[in-house]
Amino acid sequence: MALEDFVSFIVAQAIAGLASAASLFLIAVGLSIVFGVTRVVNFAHGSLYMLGAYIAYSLVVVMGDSFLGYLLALLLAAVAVGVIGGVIESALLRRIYHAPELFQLLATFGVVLVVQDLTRTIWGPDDLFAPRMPGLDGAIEILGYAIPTYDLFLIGVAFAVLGGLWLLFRKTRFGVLLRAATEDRQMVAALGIDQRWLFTAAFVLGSALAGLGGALQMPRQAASLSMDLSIIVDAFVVVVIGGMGSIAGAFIAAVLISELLAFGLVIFPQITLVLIFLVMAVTLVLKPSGLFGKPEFLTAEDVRNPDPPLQPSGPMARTGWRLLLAAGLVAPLVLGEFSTVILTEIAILALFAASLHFLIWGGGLITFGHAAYFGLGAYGAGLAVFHLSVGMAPALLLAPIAGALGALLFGWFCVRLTGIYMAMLTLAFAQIAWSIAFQWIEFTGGDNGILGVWPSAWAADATVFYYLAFSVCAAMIWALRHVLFSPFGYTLRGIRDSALRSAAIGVDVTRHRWLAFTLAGAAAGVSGGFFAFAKGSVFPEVLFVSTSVDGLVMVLLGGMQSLAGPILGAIVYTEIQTELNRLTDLWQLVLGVFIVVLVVILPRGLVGLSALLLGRRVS
Amino acid sequence: MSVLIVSDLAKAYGGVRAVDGVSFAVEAGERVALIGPNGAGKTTLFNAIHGQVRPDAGQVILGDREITGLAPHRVWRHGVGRTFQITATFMSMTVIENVQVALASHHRVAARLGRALRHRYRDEAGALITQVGLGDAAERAVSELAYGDLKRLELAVALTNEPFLLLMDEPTAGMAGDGRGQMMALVDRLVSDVGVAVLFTEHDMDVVFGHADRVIVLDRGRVIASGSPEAVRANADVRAVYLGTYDDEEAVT
Repeated sequence: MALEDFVSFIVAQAIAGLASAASLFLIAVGLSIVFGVTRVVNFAHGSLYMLGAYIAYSLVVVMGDSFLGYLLALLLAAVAVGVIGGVIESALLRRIYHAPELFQLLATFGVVLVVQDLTRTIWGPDDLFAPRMPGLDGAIEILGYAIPTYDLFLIGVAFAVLGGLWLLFRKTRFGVLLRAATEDRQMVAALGIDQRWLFTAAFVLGSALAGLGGALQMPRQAASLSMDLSIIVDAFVVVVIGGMGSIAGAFIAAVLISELLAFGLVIFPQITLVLIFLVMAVTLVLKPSGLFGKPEFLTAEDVRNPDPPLQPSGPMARTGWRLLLAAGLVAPLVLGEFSTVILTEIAILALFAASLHFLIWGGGLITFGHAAYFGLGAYGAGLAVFHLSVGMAPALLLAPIAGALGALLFGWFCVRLTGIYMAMLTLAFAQIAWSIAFQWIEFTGGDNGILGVWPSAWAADATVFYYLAFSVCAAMIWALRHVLFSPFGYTLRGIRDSALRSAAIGVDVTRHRWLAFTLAGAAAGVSGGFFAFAKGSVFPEVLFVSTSVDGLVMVLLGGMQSLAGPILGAIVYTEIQTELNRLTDLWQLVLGVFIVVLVVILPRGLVGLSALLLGRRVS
Repeated sequence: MSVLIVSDLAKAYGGVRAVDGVSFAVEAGERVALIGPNGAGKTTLFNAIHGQVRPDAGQVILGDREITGLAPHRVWRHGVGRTFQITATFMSMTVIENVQVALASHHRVAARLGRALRHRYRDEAGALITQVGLGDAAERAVSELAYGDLKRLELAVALTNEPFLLLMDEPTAGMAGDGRGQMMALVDRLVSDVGVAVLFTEHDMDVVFGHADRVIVLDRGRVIASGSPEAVRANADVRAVYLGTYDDEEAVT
């Protein structure tokens, strides 16, 4: 390739990258502004982006015949999404501003599910293609490459929004208040500003930006029901790299990531995801709060509602555990084969939930990507069967190793962060694992999954397999419980209570958190391995964010502050899901509403509810 | 013998020199009070010694070992116990468990998964909490303790590694009058019984002049005076920059 060809190729690639960066920036900056002011990471931000695209589609179909009509349609879509955002804020977010981060993420994920089903109901399941934008549907030749005019328009819009936000934040009273709220919440309260108004306004602004980002995508790509989750993970990555609450950071990180993808696709098409992962990892190791983020003040440990001290089971609790064990042993003899299959799933998911509970409650490690280790266990077992033709027993032994190794690698980065940053990073890693499983078709089968992962002949009978899964999972749950009482468990609990004190008594906080992460990864791997054999197949969904959320809902449903919580949660949640699937097509909507209600009304879960009703604590 | 030698320690935040070339030493079994008006750099100095912040320049030598810039968990291994201005304890545990966790760390079994912690180091932990006067509260939840008792518990925890230096940031802050006296009497007893050296910051001048062998006065990141309580009290510089404000405060409160 001659030099000038090379240069023009670089320029063309760079422009394409900038055009992709435009939308990513609009999404990420909205997310960042909302976080900066309200301290809530809005998982439903991607849903607002998706709504922007769908609403723009409907408007464009009606009024998009001319350039101005089309432009007006895009702007109206952004305004509409802003209004929807305002409704969500005043109906839901306002109630959870003081809830723990995990609850906020979960509640907003409930909104994701609801919006998904509503969008499907209104616009149908098929992808929708909008017409091109009149006047911008051609291409301009730059250095011999045809660059779509619309790409240049997008880049212009991104710079216009960046400039507009800069003016807004520097030159207007509203902007100054937003900045003040981002930097010092107490101060704004002290100034006598009505925070509720400010929060709603920030949310409307962020939502409108997301809506605009989605609307602007319409001429470039189809509106689809998977837009919400794919963009939110990218936006998380951008915000984590750029720094929470920073507009310039969102811009620079969006450009960085998009250019990396644009050039990565040409140079290393196979490993673009790995590149992004590396950039994010290096950024976080060097600057844990992102390029332009300010370190979160150690908003000290939550001392408002400390848990009661751990108690070894009393006679009542011991009886309860024995009854549960006996019920598990007797159930398949009494119930039919269909129920035995469901019981198997419950036992497996109870272990998954228990490993998640161990991390969150035992160590205060907030993860939103625990599916990664469950999925790695499933894939570890499935791939061993598929590629190495090993039997069930060795495949099941591989599962925890795969889970632990994944947790060891991802955990090294994740445990350096805390709170919301950790939650977002764990999610990003899980989504990366999912994308790899999805894209590496030769090795994983991609979307078609791995089939034929059946138990060995001796365990082929549903009842035998149940007893195997039940006994191993019960033993693992017992072991995790035992660890909570061990010196390591207490050291973790100490780190959760006060990292400052832990370091002052010689505890290497990062290393112990890493160890806990790996241990929980191994346990999740075991359950993933059994899950693969229970289903006879492995699909990328095991790694998807919805699997992580299933686990979190089980833990919260059962009750965070109880060791029996995750088990109870797994039983009830699996039953509910089985029934819902049978009853309605809109199970996502019902589930979403259920999650929101759970977080807002029943934050202590079922065990908390029974304790409330019985007027005492249950351990 | 000096247990702690700090030389030319400096730490700046932006353009503000919070600690600006501080040098001093603490001898074995000595009680040294670090005083100075708000913003003088006391807490930054403490954090730089303890490893929570990395100093920009200077040295911290503990015994015969340099610990400059070591992380807090490593500093602790070299025999330094720490208490904080706002107590840092494990709120979801009992009193004795707080001490047992620290003992597990001291005996390097913090990562063990085996026998339950509650059965380990019971006697050792019991002796420590008795020593600070919390013997009757061993099984109580820390979240139920009064603030003064939290301070005592922190002291017991800080003693688990048999330190030869205690760093106490405002040991009596937030306590009532006789609580302060009891706390400092406890520290005095530890010094005479165990021979531990104590470096502490304090706002209460009665505590400082009643319980320190030596006083170091810090102002705007620098040592402006050092010596016996009597000498420091008589020092004109100190009166000008520090005791003046102290008198004002007294007048107000």
